[in-house]
Amino acid sequence: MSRKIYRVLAVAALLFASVGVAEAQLNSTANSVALSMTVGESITISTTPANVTFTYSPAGAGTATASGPITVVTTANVLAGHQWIQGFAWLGSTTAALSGPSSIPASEVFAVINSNPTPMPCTSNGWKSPDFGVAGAFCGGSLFETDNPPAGAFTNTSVLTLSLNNLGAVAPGTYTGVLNIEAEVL
Amino acid sequence: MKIKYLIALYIFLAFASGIFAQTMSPAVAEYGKKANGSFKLQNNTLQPVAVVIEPFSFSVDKDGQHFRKLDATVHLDLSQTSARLGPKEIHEFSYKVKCDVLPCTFSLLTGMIIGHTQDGLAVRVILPHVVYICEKQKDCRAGVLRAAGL
Repeated sequence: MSRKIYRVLAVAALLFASVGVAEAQLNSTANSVALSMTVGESITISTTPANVTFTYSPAGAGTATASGPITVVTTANVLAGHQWIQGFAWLGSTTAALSGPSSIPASEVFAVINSNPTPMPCTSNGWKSPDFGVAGAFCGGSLFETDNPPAGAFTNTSVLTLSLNNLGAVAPGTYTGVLNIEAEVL
Repeated sequence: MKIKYLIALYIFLAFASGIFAQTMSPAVAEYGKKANGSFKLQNNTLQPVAVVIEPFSFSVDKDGQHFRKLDATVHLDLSQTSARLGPKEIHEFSYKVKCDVLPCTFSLLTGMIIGHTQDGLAVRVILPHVVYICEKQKDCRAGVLRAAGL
């Protein structure tokens, strides 16, 4: 009889011991790991193609047609509260937009921005930024302007078509120059 | 079969190299008093490109941004004033700046000639990194623009 009691007690002791072990499990307090990512404001400008060649024709007042239009795509990712996003195009010089055996001034370089039907000489100042670039060599006041852009992604596509007019007789040779294209966020 | 792949690769490279895109980040930065900052310029093309950085002070009003030579009161220490970015490279330019007069505003214009040509017009792309420095960083840009009536 006492043996039976001992057995029962032993089994009970084992059961309680296992329960004790189970209760002895400790869980740590939940720690949190902060995840963060900072995405800075950015602006991207792409131009296609990145140069223009001209084919000269002495016919009429002397003209030269460009190899093709330049497509300028500006993309930005900005916070709210900016004044504007703008794009500009201007030549490297007013008196020698293209230089070679002689100089072709900016007044003989004409631009059509997007579908504006009238080519305008590249002799203006930047519309809202008259103190940078080359004064009097801007092709249109600006390629584009978007005031108070909303937060998030922004895209503008402008097409710039250049031509040379009123060239007269141009001395043979190679003519080169630089067309500056800027995009800015303020 | 191999020729097909080569043709596809050639078309891809021709197309990719015809799109000349560069990215500036951040486009705008605000600091309080002493500024240790940086910006990243990404050459998204498959061709290397040379970069030249020019600092300009500017003021702003309703007619726009008015650039001028960097003020003598702006002490700018730029890590590099030029660099060569490889294909797809992201290059970080760092700077330290202290302004004797606050607020001070300047722009780092990064210029890249991306379409060199022997004949005609080459395209030079310019992306600015605009910096605003005030007594306190918070709302520095907004304060400058507000003071300018914008």
